[in-house]
Amino acid sequence: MITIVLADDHHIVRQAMRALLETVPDFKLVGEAGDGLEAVRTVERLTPGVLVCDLMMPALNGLEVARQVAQRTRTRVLILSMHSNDAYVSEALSNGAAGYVLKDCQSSELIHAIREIAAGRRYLSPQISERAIELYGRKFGNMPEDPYQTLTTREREVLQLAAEGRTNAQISERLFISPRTIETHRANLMRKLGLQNHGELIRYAVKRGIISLDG
Amino acid sequence: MAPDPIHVLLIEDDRSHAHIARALIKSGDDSISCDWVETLADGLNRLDAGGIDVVLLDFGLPDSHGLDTFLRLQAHSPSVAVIPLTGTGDDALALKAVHLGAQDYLFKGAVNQQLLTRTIRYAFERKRQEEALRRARDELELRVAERTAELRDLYDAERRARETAETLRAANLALTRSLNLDEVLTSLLDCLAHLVPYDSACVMLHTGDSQLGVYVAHGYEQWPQSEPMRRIVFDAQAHPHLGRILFQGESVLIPDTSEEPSWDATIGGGAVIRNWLGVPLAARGRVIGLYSMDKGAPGFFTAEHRQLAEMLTAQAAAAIDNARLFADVHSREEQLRALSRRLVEVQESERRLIARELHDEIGQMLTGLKLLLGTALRLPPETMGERLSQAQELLNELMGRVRNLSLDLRPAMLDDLGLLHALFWHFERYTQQTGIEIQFTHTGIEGRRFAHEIETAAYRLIQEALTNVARYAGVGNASVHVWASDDLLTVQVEDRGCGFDPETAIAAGRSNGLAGMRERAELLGGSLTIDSSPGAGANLTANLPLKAHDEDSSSQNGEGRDAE
Repeated sequence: MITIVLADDHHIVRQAMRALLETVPDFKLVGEAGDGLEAVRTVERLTPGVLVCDLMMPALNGLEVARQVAQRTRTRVLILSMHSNDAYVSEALSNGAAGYVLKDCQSSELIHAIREIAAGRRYLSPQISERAIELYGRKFGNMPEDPYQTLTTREREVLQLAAEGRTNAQISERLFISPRTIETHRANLMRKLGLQNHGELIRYAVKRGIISLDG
Repeated sequence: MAPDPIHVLLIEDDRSHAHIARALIKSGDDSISCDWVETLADGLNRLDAGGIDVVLLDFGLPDSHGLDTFLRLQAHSPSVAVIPLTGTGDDALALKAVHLGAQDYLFKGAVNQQLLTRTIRYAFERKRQEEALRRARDELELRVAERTAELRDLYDAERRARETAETLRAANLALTRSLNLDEVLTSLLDCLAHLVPYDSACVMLHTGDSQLGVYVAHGYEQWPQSEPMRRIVFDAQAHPHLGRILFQGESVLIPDTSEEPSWDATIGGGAVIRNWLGVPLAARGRVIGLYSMDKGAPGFFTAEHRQLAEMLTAQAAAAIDNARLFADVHSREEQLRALSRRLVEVQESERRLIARELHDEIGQMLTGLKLLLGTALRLPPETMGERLSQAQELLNELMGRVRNLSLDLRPAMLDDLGLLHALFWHFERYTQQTGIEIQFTHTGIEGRRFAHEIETAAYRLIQEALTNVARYAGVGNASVHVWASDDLLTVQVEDRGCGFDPETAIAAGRSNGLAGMRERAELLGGSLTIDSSPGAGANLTANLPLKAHDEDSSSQNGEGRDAE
């Protein structure tokens, strides 16, 4: 017998889910909650095997519910969501959810998912599983180690010309843009590279091989 | 006390008379000595040699005659006592000589030793006192002249000080009369002209880092080949004298520009301007600009001109500062008004879009669904399943539509998970829809949440910039950089596409959203820099301050929300 608590802020969704779960003989719906806070309290009180929880809920969203439940109880959390986006999935999993199912799944899939996580495994909807697993546990995106990588092409051009000793006015003539704009690029690139003044800019450029002192 | 020694010169061509006179002098008084010459010319020569106190002068000499003899001698040696020797019966002539300054006179032949020595001594003493008196009088006149000059100088200085004070007061009035920057600057140059008579002058204001822009200019049209000064931007790093004013806050006087190696003769009459004076304008503790005065001739401006020009700076800087603040507030108000107008329009067009989507798409699908379910009910149970699964497919599609509609309006992710996640999601969708690949780098935003309005603004700026890239740039990829420090969030979108002219594009108005993007950034106290030109790609950089914004986020909150 798998005991289940159901949390969703939409009455109609709860009603439909209840109807579905009641068709499965070894499932037992022991409680329902209409918001995140109530969900956490109900789980703590009833300690069901599985919490089926909507991602978007008032008071406390599903991600936070998953985190608190995973921390405080042994109840397994299945997130039910409209969002197939990796970021949500990854966030849910790292918050301690055991499974993540899209709301437009077939009813058979939902039943299967509940069984899987109740058995101690993890479950993700097929549409999302591959990428999310690939993503999960790894820091994503390109966060450059080297601040130089954060410079735009334009900022790199300005950096080089400034390091070569050209004034803003001269750079402006060279790149056909206003001195004011050059000034913005220059301020931004110096901030990105952590440079305080022109001397540091030149030292940086020499160190990076952007300019050479022999030239 | 022994009497002062007296040296007498006898000018007498009659040898016998001369002989007698000398004998009388010699026998009379030891302290009196006597030289003798026979002509006036010799006499004058002897006087030039010096040491003569008294002259005994015969009026009838071989080279001079009568009163003229006396006058010539007196003109030659005014400080020597002269005693004319005349023949008896010539009283009138002798008296005339006394009137003209002779000390006494003697008749030849009516002279004894006692009379002669006494006359000589008296004449000597009288002349000495006359001389002392004359010196005292000269001295006195000199003193009086000196004091008169001093008084005149004092008077002049007082008059100038009063004029300066009046000019400054007039300047104060003129400068505070208007809050229009151009008017303030123009009246500043007018007031300055009263204090320092320049040939041409301009006001430059600090426009960022080392940039100094000319805002108003007077008198440059007189210089040959001088382009209009207004709007020229000088780089203080390239002009050391401007740099000294801007960075050190001190006035600079170049007495002769032709001897100043750093003087740039290529701009604004620089080739003919020989004398230059620049004075910093400081307000609220920082240099906000300077005024620059030119003269065609070298060495005209003095330290006093410099002081006078400096006297004007405090009130001028305050007036400029006020005018700029006013302009700032004014244009912000304008922007706000324009923005709220646009918000209403945007809101309406979004509503129209949603209404159409709800009616045309979702409404039609719901109708279809209703029909499907209706027919399914009337079918025998064995065929009902097929219709129900059709209905389920339609339902799934419907859910997808609703989700997309909601995401288009505002990605929930931005609120739930923050900027970084929302951006990733957006890039993925964007690439799917447009085929344009995004190179994305970010620093300092992972795991960090910013104020709602900052995240929204950053997200929308990137979204709109990328929409423009897809619409206009004609490229297969673009790069996005997001960079956050403690107090600034920098958002950059760059492409190597066909580019555009920023001014034309902004003026073109709504279609490309550039003006709206700029407003969005400026409403948060930030800025948007658009760097593009036809054929050279485009780079949009928005800087959004983080700390300054937190302080007044309560007042900005409403704006940010309404914009959605």
